[in-house]
Amino acid sequence: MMNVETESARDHVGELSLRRFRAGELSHERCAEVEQHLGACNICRTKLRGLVEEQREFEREIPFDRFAGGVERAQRVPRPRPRRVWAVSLGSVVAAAAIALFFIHVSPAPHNRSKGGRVEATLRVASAKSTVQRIVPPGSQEELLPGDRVRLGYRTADARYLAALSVDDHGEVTPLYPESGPALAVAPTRETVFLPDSLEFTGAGHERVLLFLARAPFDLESARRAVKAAHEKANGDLNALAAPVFAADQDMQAFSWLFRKP
Amino acid sequence: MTGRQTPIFQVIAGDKGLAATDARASLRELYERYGASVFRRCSYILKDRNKAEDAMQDVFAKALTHHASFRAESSPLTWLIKIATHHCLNLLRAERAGWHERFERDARARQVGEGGPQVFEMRELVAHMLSLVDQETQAVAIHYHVDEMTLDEVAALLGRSVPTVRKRLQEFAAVCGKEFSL
Repeated sequence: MMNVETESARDHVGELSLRRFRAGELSHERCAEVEQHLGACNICRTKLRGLVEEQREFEREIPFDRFAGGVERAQRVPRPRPRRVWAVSLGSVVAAAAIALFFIHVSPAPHNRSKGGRVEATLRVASAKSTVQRIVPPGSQEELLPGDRVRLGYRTADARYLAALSVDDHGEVTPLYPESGPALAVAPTRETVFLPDSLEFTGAGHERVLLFLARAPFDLESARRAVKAAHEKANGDLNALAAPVFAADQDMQAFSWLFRKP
Repeated sequence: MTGRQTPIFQVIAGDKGLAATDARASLRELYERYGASVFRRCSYILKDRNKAEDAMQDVFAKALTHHASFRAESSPLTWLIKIATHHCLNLLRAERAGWHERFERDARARQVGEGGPQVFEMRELVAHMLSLVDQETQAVAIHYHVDEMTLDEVAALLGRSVPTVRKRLQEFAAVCGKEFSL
């Protein structure tokens, strides 16, 4: 059972106080107290050394230019995260029934790197102004109107691992399904399965949505790196984005759609 | 290592935004003084280095955007840690929106995953316990148990009374005890 201690029971300098001490923002009096304590307490000295090393490690892992670039971008433009909307809000029962029954066959298209096996992907766009939904085949481009929402679906004859991401003109890669960790394990299905909820893209410019279905497990980070590398190779031109490259032995099928955001 | 008394943002002038060179200089100072602390907080809550880096950038962007009020803080680090904790808990809450849980539940029902049960590490246990309480209790527990702030400090930081903070900690302790007894 955890115990809620009283302040007097804390014999050491708290972690935040040590961090403030390291950052040089304690008052003269408090600073003198901490220095005195450090002189007599090996535990706190060790903890302080750990904080100094933590900062060194941080600077090795995230160099200043990368840090500054990310902060300036975040300050300039709020991070464009697709907004999920409950699927039930998409429209009428008729529309829901249409989603449940609908699937499309994927013809050979850009970013289709399958070595075999029946795997299909579908994408529907729901309009904010009507219950009409339009189908966007993989490999095509589509202009989104304000309030348009996107929903992804798949069908696979064998067990696969699925992940979906999007990348914008600036190379900002956003995981969609799942949002982190390993790709989702999906079972064989005879009918199209739609991923939960719909997506509404924020910001302006283009957004390319990519859906990967692999035979072997992979994680979001490897997919993110592959998409990022493809974006850099295309010099930021989402029209020219080649299929992201994964490990050579990865049997991966990729589908993509290019959107112009309103 | 000694504490310094130099005001951190005295080079920043005006309230209409920073000149690019000043902003870079301030950013470097923030990076060197607080980068690891904020990144560690984001990593602790989000458990994902890429998301933690994004969240950290968001937090420092807020510091630059609100530099006038930020500059007036007696402890910029405490301000940053509070903002980082709040921001990351909000991100977690958004992630826990129904779709993820529903999809994972369905996936578990459909098939057996590879590799068997996940190893239930201590950090995950703590994260699991945090997920059992409301967001304010999460923030209280993190500031008290991780930042090792006093009850008074937590209360001042979150704008709550000491009895309220104590009550939140007791609630958290009760949840933890229940979990450990299972």
